[in-house]
Amino acid sequence: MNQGYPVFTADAECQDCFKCVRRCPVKAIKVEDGHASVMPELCIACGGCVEVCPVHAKKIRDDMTRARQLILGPDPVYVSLAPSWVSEFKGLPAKNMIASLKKLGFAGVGETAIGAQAVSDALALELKDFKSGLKISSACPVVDDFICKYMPEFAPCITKVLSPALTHAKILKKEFGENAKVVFIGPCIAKKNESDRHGDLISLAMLFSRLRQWFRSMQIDPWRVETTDADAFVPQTAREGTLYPIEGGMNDTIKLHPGCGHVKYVAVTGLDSLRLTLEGLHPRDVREPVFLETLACQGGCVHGPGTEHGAPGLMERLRILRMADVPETVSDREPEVALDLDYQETPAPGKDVSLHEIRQALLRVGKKDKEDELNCGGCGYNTCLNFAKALIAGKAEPNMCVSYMRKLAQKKSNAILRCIPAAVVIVDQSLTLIESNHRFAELCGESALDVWNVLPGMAGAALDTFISFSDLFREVLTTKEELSRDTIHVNGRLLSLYIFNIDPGQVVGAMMFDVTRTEFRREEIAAQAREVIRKNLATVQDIACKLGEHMADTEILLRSIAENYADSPGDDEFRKKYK
Amino acid sequence: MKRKIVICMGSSCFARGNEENLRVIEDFLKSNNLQADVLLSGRCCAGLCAEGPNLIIDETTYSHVSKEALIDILNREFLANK
Repeated sequence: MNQGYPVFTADAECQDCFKCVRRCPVKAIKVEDGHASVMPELCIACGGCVEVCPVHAKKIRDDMTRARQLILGPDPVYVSLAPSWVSEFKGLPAKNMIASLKKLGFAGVGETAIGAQAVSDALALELKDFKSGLKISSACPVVDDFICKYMPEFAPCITKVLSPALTHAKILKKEFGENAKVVFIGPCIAKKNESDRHGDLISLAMLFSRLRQWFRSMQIDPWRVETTDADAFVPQTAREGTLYPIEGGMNDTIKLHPGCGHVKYVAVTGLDSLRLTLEGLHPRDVREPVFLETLACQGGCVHGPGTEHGAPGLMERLRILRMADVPETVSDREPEVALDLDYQETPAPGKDVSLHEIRQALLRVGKKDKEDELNCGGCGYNTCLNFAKALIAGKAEPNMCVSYMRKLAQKKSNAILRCIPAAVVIVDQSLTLIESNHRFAELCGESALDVWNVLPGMAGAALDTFISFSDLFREVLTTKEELSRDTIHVNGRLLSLYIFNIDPGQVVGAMMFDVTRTEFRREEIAAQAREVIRKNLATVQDIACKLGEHMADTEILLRSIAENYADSPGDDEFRKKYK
Repeated sequence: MKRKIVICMGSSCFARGNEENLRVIEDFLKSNNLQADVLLSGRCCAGLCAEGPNLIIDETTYSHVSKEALIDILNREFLANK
């Protein structure tokens, strides 16, 4: 079972800002529904994304616990200590570092610089009769991956020798037996790739930052650890090899060998400068014998991702030079171990895409023609074309395009402002208009309409030139409480007002419905309703009055009839007897 | 003779990594078709939380088992001879 890739993203913490995509020299980061994830097949483990991530969501695989397990195992475990330790642990004497590492359980501590010296010896022999052409150093694993994947035409130029660390591992195993295990401790994440690929030589690679953590967890303070004479580098202390981690250091070690003076030595650090150095060049155009020492980190390994970057570059360099014991010359010597390693070109996977596909992808982010292609780099890709290719390859998402998202947001708000049947105005803290719609201008009368025609949205205008109740806005700004008024009388109009927070205390917006008509209509209805009531009442009263009169008249008539027909008193008894 | 892996499922070890370690072990056994030869079982907390996450393979107890360390352990214990 293989270990996970050395660089990965903790999804929960990723805040979808694409800063890592911008920093990645080879765009090996895929963004999927708002989360960045490293693509191992494209990544060269330079550590740029880890350093730049503002929330430290880019994590480095922790191999410290593996080292602990290894130490508990049967075999002796030796440290291959990168020479940049001198600039990382400022002023710490070597024997303190060795004693501290032994207290962690390591059997012994060797200097990777010993391996570096063997590499320089081998290269010196090779360069003696090197007539013309370009040779590129293979010391830096990031550069090796970068060239093999992204500049494969230069892969044959990479010197076919092991890296100093792998060479050192071989030397340690030759010295202490094949079952001796080697742990590399240094400033470099890519060494984890190297130990994954060459597990037989280096069991695992750890960063200085992780070593500090280990020291702390074991309450070991390297500055105050007691040391003995036995605390020395094994098998012996390195000399000129300790120059490797600074720009030009490797070249200096080779120049110490006689017979290599005819070679042109070039030192380049930083992938951008390396690109500049090689892009557009064809190896056969190099007629002089050129040896290109190149390290991916600016200034060299002393500035690697696993270091604290605690000191200015020059100081890091000076510390290396102060501690380096560089002999006058180095006589030719055959390296004690075989160093050959071939660097195959492994072009990064990526299918070529048709122009049509690219145009389709560009359309997805609203880029219709050349002018739309701003090449602003907001998405992390330096051109819209590269971004389109990334979209096609599924490495990117439309919402990474800053200009597109801004335009989209603007279009949405414009459409809403235009269609909403209400006057809308948005103002900032100082009650200056940020945006408003045409209805707002209509509402505010002629002068506003003139302003609108000159300046659509009337951005920058002062609110109180248009409306009288701007104090309500100030109230919402200060209390951050939204506010609504059903009816406000404004120059003969009735408005229903609602002021809301867009950015509490900073930006507020208001919606005003002109309810005069509806208000008017409502009053009208109310009035008519009252009218109906009044009318009903009137007719009822009329009827009642007529009824009363009618009743009175008919009563008089009926009474008179009744009296005319009234019987003499006996009639009643007669009718009763015979009913 | 069937080999045994006992993984501590106490809440401390579980939270500190054994949850994911369990998946790693299952994947490992599956991809190396060792499911028939290895008995994987859990156990409750045995009070070794300080050394957690804990894991026992046959007789040896492993502590501070991170995912990365687990992969080494599994490779060494089960694939060493291959």
